[in-house]
Amino acid sequence: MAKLKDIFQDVKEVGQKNLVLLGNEAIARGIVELGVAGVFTYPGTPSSEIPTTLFHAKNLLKQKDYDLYLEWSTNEAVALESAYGFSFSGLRTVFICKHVGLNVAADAFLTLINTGVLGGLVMIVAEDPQMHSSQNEQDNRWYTKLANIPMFEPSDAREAKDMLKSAFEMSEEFETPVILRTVTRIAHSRADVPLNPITNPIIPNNMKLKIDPSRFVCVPENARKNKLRILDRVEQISKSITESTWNQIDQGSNKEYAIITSGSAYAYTREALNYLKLDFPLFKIGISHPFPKETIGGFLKANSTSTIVIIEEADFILETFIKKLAFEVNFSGKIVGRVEGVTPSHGELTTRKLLIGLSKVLKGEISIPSIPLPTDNFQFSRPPVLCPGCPHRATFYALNKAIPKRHRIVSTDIGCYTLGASPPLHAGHLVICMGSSLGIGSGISQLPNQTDPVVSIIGDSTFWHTGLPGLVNAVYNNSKLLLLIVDNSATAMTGFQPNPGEKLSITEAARGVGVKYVIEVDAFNPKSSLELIKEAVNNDGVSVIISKGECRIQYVRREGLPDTTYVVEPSRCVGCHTCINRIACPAIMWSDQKNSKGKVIPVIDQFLCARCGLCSQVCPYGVIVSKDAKEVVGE
Amino acid sequence: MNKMEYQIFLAGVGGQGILSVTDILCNAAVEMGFTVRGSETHGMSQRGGSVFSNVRFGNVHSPLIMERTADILLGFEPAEALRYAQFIKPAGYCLVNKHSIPSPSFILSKDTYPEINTIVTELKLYSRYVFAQDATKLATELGKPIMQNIIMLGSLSAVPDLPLTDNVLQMALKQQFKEPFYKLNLEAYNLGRAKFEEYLAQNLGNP
Repeated sequence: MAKLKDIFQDVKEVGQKNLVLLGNEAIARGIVELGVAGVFTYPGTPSSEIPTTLFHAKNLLKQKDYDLYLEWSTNEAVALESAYGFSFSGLRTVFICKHVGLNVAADAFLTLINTGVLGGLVMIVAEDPQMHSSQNEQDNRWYTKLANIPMFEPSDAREAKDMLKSAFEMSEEFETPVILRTVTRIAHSRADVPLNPITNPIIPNNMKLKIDPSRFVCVPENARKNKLRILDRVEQISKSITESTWNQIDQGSNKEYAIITSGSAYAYTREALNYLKLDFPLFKIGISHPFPKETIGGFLKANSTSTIVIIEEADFILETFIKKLAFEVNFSGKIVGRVEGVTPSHGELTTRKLLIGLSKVLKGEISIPSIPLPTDNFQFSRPPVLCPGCPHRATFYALNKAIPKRHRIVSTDIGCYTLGASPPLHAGHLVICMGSSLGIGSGISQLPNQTDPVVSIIGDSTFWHTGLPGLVNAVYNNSKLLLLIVDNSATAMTGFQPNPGEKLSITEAARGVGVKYVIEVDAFNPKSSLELIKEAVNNDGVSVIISKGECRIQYVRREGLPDTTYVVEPSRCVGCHTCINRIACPAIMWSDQKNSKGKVIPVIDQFLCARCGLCSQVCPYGVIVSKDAKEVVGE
Repeated sequence: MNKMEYQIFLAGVGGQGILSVTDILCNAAVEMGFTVRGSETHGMSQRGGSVFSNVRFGNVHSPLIMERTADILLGFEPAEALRYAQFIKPAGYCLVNKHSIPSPSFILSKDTYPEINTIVTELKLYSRYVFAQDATKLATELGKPIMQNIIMLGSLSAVPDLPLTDNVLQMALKQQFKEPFYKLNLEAYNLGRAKFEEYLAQNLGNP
């Protein structure tokens, strides 16, 4: 990743210098080139590096007299509502979330799109085809059809920055929010990006808002007018984009086939055509909503004897609308796409997948390089795991000691601690979305004749995000459950963004909504917390245990590693393997030594060990002992 | 720009400094006037998981390398090199760190981690040149095991058809590290480079 001083460097001329940036860094740079004054977000992969880059550059921007209000909102609904409020200033405003974050914000989103806005408001929404870091695969282009909101679809990091400018211009001209859609392979991809000068926002000395209640109070009478407004607005935008260079046609030399593609799929399309050395007419759609009906109609007409090939990533939305349009304009040629197997129905698109798809519809042989068959079964998984020193591991160890795994129902939530659902911790039977642990747990606890204790697990940031209403609900409906809040004082999974826990107390919040039994325990002292967990599951109603232990990565970054480390004493180890089987810390491995009974002795990898000492508390024979780190690893 | 394209596939485990090497390669490529594209693992999958990064430059559009086309596979961990072996082209160079990092899933399931030599033999199925060294051991001898990534970068710098020059790569290395760390990293780079040059001298005539 690029250095902050490089990302936010001054350039005098437009496009003077190219810098290799991550898509998200390019967008962060774009935000300050365009004089954006407000950024509202809740972090979520693959969008998080946009606000995080800006957040880390706070002082740097201050030195440049750049006034940026950056808000880590408690959730995406609040973030969008706040961005909407801020945009009434006329100052450029950005809302950022991951694809599922738009679901959280959907209620606000689907109505504020009707009122429109008075200042530029761009919603940057990052999708995650293939679910690298997500719970579902969701094509948010469908939302544009539901909400009638314009959408820009960049095909790479460079375009993402350029399109942000066009998106603001459209937003301001037509008083509408606009979506800029990225996917993992844009957000987390790199490209050499030309830099334009940074433009500081011009903040008026005397901020006066002119808000017309007959438009912005969405009671039915006004809402009906707003419905007409949005229809008219989208009609006007439709007309305005017929000449847009973002919807661009390359005239090919070989007209046997003609291709229509958009956004992220364009890059793979170009790669595949280069590989095949084919030059077909190609329509690259950059603004996919309003659906560019006229331009696509013209393209169909111009290529009426060609087979039209539609290439898109994720769902077949273009295809659906193009096939409908073909019917309306009496296009009699052939149109092929997802239905014919050109693109896969799930997962992210790749050049190879596309070549395989094209081989189904293009005439003639396509040679796709074959992959050698392995000579042996080398399958080995390396799933993400809780880090060495993670406080969640200690909490789940205590939970497992307190309540037998077979006799409990555990609903967990979204965060690092979701990884605790894997063996050997098994701390989680269910997880769907942010904040769901409480609702699911509460629902199960209301079942008649279900006697196993119900435990809901949630992290600090997720608790503030959408856990709180679930807690209120559980208290109000007298659900019998133990809420285990794993408070690591960080939004760790997405890269250490701050959350309300910096200033607010979870304990006070839980007491405030009426929970009688609220206690805090030290995550790194599992012996004491397991007794309290045992006690709490027998309580009636809702009990809350807050297991506090700072994210070890955050702690070590600030404080450095402790001077005391832990080692297995090989001469005393009985080879029971409790350490490995109970906590599975990545730093504990098999050594090549055996004890006198022939049992393999575990060893602690001092390079990976974060020196939390959990293993020494877990070892039933006390053979994992603390040692001066200098003696063990040297300086 | 001509029609050439060059692709480097980096594979390893979260925390091995793969993104740092990616930075250096990208900065060197843009310094030499190439169009650059790449993609990498961030977020959840990074937590001790399998991590890869793609660097492509020249006449490129997509951020991802297609299977069987990478010019170089730089494996920071042997099992991870093998996981992504299908990306290397048959005439490509596979450079791999022999130091293994078993994951808890290996440990729990009591699966045995494949023999390093078996992995190296298997890698030869995919590419003509396979160069394996214990970069972690070399880096530990230099004083910092984490520098195995720069040793691997140094080895990569000596790949015969690499369009990035030693000079520009060293400049990018200097850009990446603050002064006190730069010297040691340069030492690691030069050591890695020398090791691969040695291999080339012995093997290139008769691979």
